[in-house]
Amino acid sequence: MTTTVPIVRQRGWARTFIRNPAGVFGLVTTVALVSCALLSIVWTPYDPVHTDVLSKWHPPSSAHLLGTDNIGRDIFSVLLAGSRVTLQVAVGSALVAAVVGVVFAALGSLTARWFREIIAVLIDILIAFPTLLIAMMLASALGGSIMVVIVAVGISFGVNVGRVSRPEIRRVSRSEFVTAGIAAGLGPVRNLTRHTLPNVAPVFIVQLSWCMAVAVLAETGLSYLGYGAPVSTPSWGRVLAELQSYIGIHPLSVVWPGLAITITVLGFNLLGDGLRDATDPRLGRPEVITA
Amino acid sequence: MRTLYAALGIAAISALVLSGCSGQGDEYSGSEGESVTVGLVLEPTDLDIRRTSGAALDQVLIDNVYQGLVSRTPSGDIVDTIAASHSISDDGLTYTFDINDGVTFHNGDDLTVDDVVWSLTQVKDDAELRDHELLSAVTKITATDDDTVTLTLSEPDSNLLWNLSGRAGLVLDESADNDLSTTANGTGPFTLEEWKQGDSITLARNDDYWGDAAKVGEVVFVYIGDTTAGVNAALAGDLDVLTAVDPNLQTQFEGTDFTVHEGKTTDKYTLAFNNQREPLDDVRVREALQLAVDHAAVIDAIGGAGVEMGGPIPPLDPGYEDLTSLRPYNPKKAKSLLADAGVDDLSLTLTVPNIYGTTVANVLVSAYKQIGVTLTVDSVEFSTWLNDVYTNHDYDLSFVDHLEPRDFGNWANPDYYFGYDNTDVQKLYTESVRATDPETANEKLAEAARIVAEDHAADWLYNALTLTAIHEGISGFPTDSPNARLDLSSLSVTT
Repeated sequence: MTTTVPIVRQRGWARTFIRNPAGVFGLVTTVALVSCALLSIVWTPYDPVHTDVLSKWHPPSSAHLLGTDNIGRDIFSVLLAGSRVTLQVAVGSALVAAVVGVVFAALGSLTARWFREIIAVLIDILIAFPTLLIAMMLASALGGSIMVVIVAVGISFGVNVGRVSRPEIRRVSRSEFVTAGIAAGLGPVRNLTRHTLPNVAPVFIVQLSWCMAVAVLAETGLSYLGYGAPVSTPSWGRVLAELQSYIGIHPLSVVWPGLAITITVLGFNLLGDGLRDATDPRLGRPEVITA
Repeated sequence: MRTLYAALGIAAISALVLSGCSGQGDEYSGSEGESVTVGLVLEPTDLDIRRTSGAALDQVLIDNVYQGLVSRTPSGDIVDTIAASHSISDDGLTYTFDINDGVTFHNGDDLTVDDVVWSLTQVKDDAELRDHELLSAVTKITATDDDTVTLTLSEPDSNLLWNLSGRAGLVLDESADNDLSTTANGTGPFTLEEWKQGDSITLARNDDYWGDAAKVGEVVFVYIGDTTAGVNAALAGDLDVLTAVDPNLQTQFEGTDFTVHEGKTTDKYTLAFNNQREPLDDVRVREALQLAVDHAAVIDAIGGAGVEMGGPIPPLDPGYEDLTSLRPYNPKKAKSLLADAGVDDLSLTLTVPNIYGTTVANVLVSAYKQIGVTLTVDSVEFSTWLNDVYTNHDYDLSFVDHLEPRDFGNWANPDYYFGYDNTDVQKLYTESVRATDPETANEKLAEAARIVAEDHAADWLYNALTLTAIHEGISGFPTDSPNARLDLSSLSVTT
């Protein structure tokens, strides 16, 4: 007598993700951004810093896909080259946030109780500072640059990442396989990297894709205020700032960088949503995060 | 939260679109009564005409509220004001001023020769006061009789009358003890009515004015730092006159009741080269940088409101001559000059205060790239510029507007931030100042200016024109040099 045991296959997270149109949209925009940035290294239709005042304010045409700006630069080329800054800032901030987040989360969950309390308070204090404020403080001390944006967003969002993943790490570090690891003689650091972090990773990745969205907005905001990318570096926020005074006369010129920013930010957000929906077993639970 | 970010992005764009669209309707309500509202850009930080620097104060208060012995017209001529007439001795060492009768201060006091002597002596003696150094050639200020004041000089000074038409020659009331920081007691056709800090300054007609009374009852200066906001305010009917219209926005006034007038200025938008620093101490490198720039394109880029200048003196100032032929647009020659100088792979940093925008900087980056020079733009706060460039001379290239009229002396001062040290120029400038007849003074200046231009000591990118939008029915508003002085005595409203 044999009984057939029905094989229950859990759907993989990748499959769940693919079925979510919002997540796919996020993935597509992210891939598009990366492609644009890579492409701009080897090719742009025109030199993005080349000015040709005689051909200023050309409307969109086959020669100038998105038209030209007030000093005759090709807007498409500028935006293409600007995607490099956007990508740098997004990835850079996410990396800094990851490091800051891991450090805070690990210190806040695996150390002595009194130390954990201090870390918790410190996180609360740091969360109280808005990202833009930290960035402007750093920029006025060190001068505006892309690095300042990356560090500022990385630190302020990293604190968030730390706060969200701290209870996760605590939960995982109490599970049996971790205890088994300790019994087998693994040190705390190895145990963290071998067992705890891989199990917290989904939470992390979701947080970091949201961090990218914040970073893109922060870079454009800071460049708009003159604290971000240097003048001669093509950047979306800078284009927006430079063209906004002509908005009454050439409204279309501002729409392009605005659209690029909007779609990218939306894309990173939806990517984060999609990843969360696909990896989080407690589906639909709203996360509360602050920037 | 993530949807909030997306919403923020969209909201930001919508806000931009909306801000551009609002204010397009022409709802001009007319100037009720005789009040004229004027939009200005830069507000003074303090009203103390004796101690606070900055043209924002001269612009509003001199001629309208305060008056001097003499004044200047927008085109740079000297006219008698509190002085009924003046004469200069042949040796250029004695200046005699006949003082007008019946001049009164706003507080009712009569103006006497003692007030004149006291006012000038204060500036001469107190090094803390603005323009103190402009009276350095004066040794004695005396009242020779009830109507005459005499100035005695140690050596001729061809700039003295011009200097007296500025702050150094203003006459204040010796017996008044009002707080100059917030109030003003002058002799002009307008009294200072109110200063709402951060917002506006109101002048009212002085009904007891000793000369021809002003033609409007009230002038309100409204300070709007953002050029787009200024245009929107004018189009919404909040302003009768808008000064310093952004050239790129002037088309917005087409088809409205505003007319945009073009006026001359002495604003010299100067790309300074640090003449002391390698390799900019080499005249070939400086010439190359100047030849690399298409100056007509620069003017086009800023919206067309400028004229080319080839040397340090603008057309409104004495000593002007057209020197633009010294720096034709010629990138090819620029490249070979750099090769001659043995300079390749040159990287330079341009320090520019962020108030000047980025258009010119972007054009320069592109122009220099053509001749193989990499330009990095450092956009800084004005205070940083003052500290790094102006005070510490720590810069390669710098871009600011030198708006002061008759400021050629900076090229004869090796300690100025230009770092330009040429003994011939210094000698010629001194000779010009010491000259007793204007022709000689101007010839010497022109000669000195030509040397500076031939040395390519800087690149004078353009001499700005200024645009003033004036509503129908307003007349007599000065359109030349309005950023330096706004004499509103002939301003009138016709309905």
